[in-house]
Amino acid sequence: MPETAPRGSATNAAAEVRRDSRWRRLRRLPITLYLGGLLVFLFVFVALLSFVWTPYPPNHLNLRNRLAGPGTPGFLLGTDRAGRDVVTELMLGARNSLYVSVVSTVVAMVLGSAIGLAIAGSHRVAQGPLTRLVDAGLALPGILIALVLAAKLGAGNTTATLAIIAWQVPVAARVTIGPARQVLALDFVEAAYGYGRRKPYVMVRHVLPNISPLLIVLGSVMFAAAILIEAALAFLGVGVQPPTSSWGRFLNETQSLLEAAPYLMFFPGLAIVLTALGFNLLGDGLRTVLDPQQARSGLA
Amino acid sequence: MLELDDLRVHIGGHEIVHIEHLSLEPGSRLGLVGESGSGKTMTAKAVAGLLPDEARVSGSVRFNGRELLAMNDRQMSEVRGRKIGFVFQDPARSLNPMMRVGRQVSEAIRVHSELPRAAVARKVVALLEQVQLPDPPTLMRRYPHQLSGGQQQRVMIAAAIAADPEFLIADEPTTALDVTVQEEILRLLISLSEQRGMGVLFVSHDLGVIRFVCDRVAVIYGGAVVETGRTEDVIAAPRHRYTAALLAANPGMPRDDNFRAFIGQRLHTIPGSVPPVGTFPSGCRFRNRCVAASEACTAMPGVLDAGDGHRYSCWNPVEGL
Repeated sequence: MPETAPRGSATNAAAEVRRDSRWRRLRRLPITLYLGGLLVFLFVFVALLSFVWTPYPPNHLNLRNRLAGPGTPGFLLGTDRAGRDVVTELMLGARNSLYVSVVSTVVAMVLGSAIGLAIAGSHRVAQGPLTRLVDAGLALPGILIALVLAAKLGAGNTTATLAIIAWQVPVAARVTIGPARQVLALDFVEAAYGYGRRKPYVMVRHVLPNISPLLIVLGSVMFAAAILIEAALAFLGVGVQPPTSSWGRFLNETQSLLEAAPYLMFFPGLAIVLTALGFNLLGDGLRTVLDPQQARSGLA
Repeated sequence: MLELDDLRVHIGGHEIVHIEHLSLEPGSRLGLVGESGSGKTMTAKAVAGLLPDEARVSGSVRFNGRELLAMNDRQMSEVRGRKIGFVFQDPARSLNPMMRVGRQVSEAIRVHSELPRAAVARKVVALLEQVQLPDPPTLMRRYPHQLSGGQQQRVMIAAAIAADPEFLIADEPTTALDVTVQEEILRLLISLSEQRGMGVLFVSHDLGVIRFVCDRVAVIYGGAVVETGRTEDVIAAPRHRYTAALLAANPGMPRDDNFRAFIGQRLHTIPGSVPPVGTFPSGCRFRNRCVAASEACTAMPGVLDAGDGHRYSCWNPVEGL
């Protein structure tokens, strides 16, 4: 409480209040933001760490220690059927997951929001049909796209990435159209026309920054979706191929070990769940913080 | 020289503006006055080509002899800002909340010139000084919400005059501001108009404001000019019944240049309200609300001349003093 704070010089007191309000502002941030942020940080940290350090080298087989249980000396979470260290496998899986989801989300966001902006700025008559076209894109089942692509290009990370992009572009476009149209109807857009700016410039310099909070939230949620899809595709065998490690493929392999090592499926499963949960929580927290109503009160 | 001839605006199959003739000399200030829904803002936007997509415009808007209505979007964007500046009604909503104030003004400069960065920055400071904002170098780094309403409107005006336009269209620039700030902004507009020889098309519902700012006034009802002339003449001796009713409904018609509220007096009102678009009566559009309406008013009144460019369209005009 500022009232009970010890009295100092005026500047000290002001600094005190400022620090105090900053601290209170941090505490007012939603818990989901912190929880999501922590999970996402852990995921990215582990994935990056795998480039410089893993407990064992990638695909190092400990043939004498196959299917070791968790807690076996030297193997914190045990080993899989081929005697590979589970921790190492999970770290390498995170790396692949991060790689695929970053590439696909960035490309899908850029493409999708550009398409959405273009449609929002298009002529009134063209807008309806174009929006319906995006809706049609939304209706295409993503797994089907992936299977078709796999038949054409063969299974692998490229196929998985392309499939996720094809799946997510209509989502990003559809989410962009509405808010972009709302911003286009605002007075400052007309003011920009008033001093001689034209539509493409207005779309990029005025509309885009004003919908960026939404795009940030969308990006975070799309990340979660990309991780789930990558795992699903790898699980189905359409995604990344051996010997590259992946959570989805790891999960698939544990299927046949249901009797021998039933606990094994929890490791990749938990990794997938926690990462997707982390991105979703982060998105939810960001949504609360970046909400325009709250942003005006000085939170964002 | 800005000239409007037989300008018609249709939206949704209804004619909402029909201006027979209106002209604005360089350096002069013309007021467009009327109630909400009378078509004054639509007229102003039609001149600047800022009407919504669904509007259909016909007739002629000439700027220094060039036909603006025949121009495509690219040509029109060359005119906007550089030839015709536009100041909007609500400054708080006309500034991009995500963009620093200085940036919004520099944006308006750079549309029409290829000045180097430093020169643009100097010009922004000069413009902010011209609109009498304090401490431009600090102020230009602020965001719009950190400014007061009056400061925001000054920034808007700075952006509107950034490319030195010959005409300025001001669409109710003080409606969103309180009265003390209103007077400062009006004085600023007048002095800018005089310094730069810049013509002003001033849209307002307030005859007191119009009288303060404009040399000439055009009273608009139902999208048409019902009376026009020198501001002094029209206010001293209104002929059209609508103008007379508007004047009677004005509480603080100032006798001098100050704004004074008349407390404790019953206000005169105009019966009814502006009919929805498409439901205006035939003949004189004002006749269903007019105290002096007669049989004759079912026919369209012609344009009558009261001398000195004072024209009106009324069958039963207010007789001279």
